[in-house]
Amino acid sequence: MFKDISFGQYYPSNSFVHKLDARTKLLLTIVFIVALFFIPSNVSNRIEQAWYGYFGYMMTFAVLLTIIILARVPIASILKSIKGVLLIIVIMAVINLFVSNQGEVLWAWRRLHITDAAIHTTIKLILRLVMLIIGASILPLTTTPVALSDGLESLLKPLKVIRVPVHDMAMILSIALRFIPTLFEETQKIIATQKARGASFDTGNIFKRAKALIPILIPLFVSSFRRADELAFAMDSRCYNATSKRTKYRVSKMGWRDALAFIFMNAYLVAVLMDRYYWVFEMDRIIFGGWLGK
Amino acid sequence: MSAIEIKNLTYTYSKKTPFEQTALKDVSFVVEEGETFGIIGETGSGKSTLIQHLNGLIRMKDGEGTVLGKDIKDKKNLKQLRFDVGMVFQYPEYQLFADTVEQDVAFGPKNMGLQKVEIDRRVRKAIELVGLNYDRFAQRSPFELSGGEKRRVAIAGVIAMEPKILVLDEPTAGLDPQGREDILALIRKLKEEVCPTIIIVTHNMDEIAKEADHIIALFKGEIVYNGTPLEVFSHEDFKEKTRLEFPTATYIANEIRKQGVDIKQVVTSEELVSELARIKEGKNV
Ligand SMILES: Nc1ncnc2c1ncn2[C@@H]1O[C@H](COP(=O)(O)OP(=O)(O)OP(=O)(O)O)[C@@H](O)[C@H]1O
Ligand SMILES: [Mg+2]
Repeated sequence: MFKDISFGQYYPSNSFVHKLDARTKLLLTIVFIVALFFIPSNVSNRIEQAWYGYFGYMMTFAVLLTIIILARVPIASILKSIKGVLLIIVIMAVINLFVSNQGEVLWAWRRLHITDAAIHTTIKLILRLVMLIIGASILPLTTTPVALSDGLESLLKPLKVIRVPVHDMAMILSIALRFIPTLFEETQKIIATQKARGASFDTGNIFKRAKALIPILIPLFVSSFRRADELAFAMDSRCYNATSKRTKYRVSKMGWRDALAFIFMNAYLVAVLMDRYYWVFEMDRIIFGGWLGK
Repeated sequence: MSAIEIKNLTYTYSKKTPFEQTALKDVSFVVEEGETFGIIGETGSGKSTLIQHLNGLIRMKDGEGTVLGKDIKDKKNLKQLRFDVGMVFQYPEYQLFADTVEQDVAFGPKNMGLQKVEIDRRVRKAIELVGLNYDRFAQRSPFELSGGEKRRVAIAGVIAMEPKILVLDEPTAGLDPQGREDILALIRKLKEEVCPTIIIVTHNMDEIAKEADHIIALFKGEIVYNGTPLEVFSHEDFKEKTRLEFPTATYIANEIRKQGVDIKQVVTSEELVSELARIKEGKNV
């Protein structure tokens, strides 16, 4: 049923990004994060190069926009993931704004001061964090939890050589993921039942509220153990055995889409690196130098 | 005054998301006081969604409704609504949580803010009413009881609130024939002694044909039939329109009629038996 997969952030669609292999998306998310951290964010002590790095963020913005358009997920669901960490971003930005000593002081009050360099590093910090979160949110938005844990298992397979129980870990992960919506539904039901008996969960002080959770938590634990028992029994009676070589019901294969995605994201990574270390494009200077530099 | 009046109720889950699901469409009906009211429909037809509106667990958005003359949509009535409409959910045994049967049954009355003496009186009465011996069961852990006993304790937990309307969602689900018959007998007893207005949600047509005075049949969130069991099960397209089965007695009578025998419409086995007896007499004379 539909409501069973409505947990988490997954947004069902048939887009290019949704059709990519989960492994591709996992690896490319890492590529994206690495690339993002190679974009210069400090002012490297020379305020005359304040524009250093802005081109990298521009490229990143273009890449994100392309991905979002290809993924056909609504902007609102992406913004939702930023909302969760907005406070942290704001706090970091404010601290950053006031502690930086480099550059020319523009404003000062007692021991607080803001410099022109601090403004630039703060803008870059915000850009980096927001883009990091947007980029990382694409993965869970476009990949079902089950595909995700399958992909993870496949990627971690080499660790089997050093006796890491990759398959068991993936099995535990997928069972846990599988049961989150079930437990969620169960919790809703139990809440409804206890509410029908007049329970209220949003009145009283914190101890009262914590105590009000007992009638929910106990039935939930009881039913979780019952389910775990039933599942173990069902797996046993089907002779489930984690040690033998198992095949998969859903065999995922990489295709032309994955190849395209790899080329695209790696091109982005290379562009970021070249921009940082070789100044090949000098785009920072060309685009931003005029009005930011001195 | 009718016990419950619902007008043009529409409800959609997860509105404005890709998971949007219309569970109820323009549902209107009236439950009279003292009536046993049946709600039938296939899986996913919206029965549970409908009854959760009756005590405000789901807040009504589109539509109007009153319970015992009080407006369902009015937030002030919410608390009273919870106590006026006692709700026994599907598999109620999974709601048990307390150390002892007594404490579990007392949970509802405690939430009503009653005095200790009154709580004790109600708990004792409710446990006895559902057919459990108070002295033997009161101090036992609800988790060490049998399935049928757990269900009784759960029902007692609702009865102890002395609701004016009792709603039961699939009260006989997952029980053996004897267990089902016991629960139905219990419901009849409750109707007689404490709560005359009862709403039963079920998949079992034989049970509802026998117990209910009035039935509504839901299909994909809409009411397709509304009437007495005899009226509802007399519709020839009942099976197609609801994807449910006829009661066994109705099915047999229909088959006999196909053989050219003049048999009246029946819904319960008792009616079938007396109808067959009548025909036999008639033939013999
Ligand atoms: N919490 C929920 N979120 C989203 N959709 C829901 C939710 N609960 C029920 N639904 C959907 O609403 C519809 C009606 O569900 P409901 O539980 O009312 O059916 P029902 O008639 O009680 O079924 P059953 O006989 O299986 O108990 C179904 O299509 C169901 O998938
Ligand atoms: Mg239901």
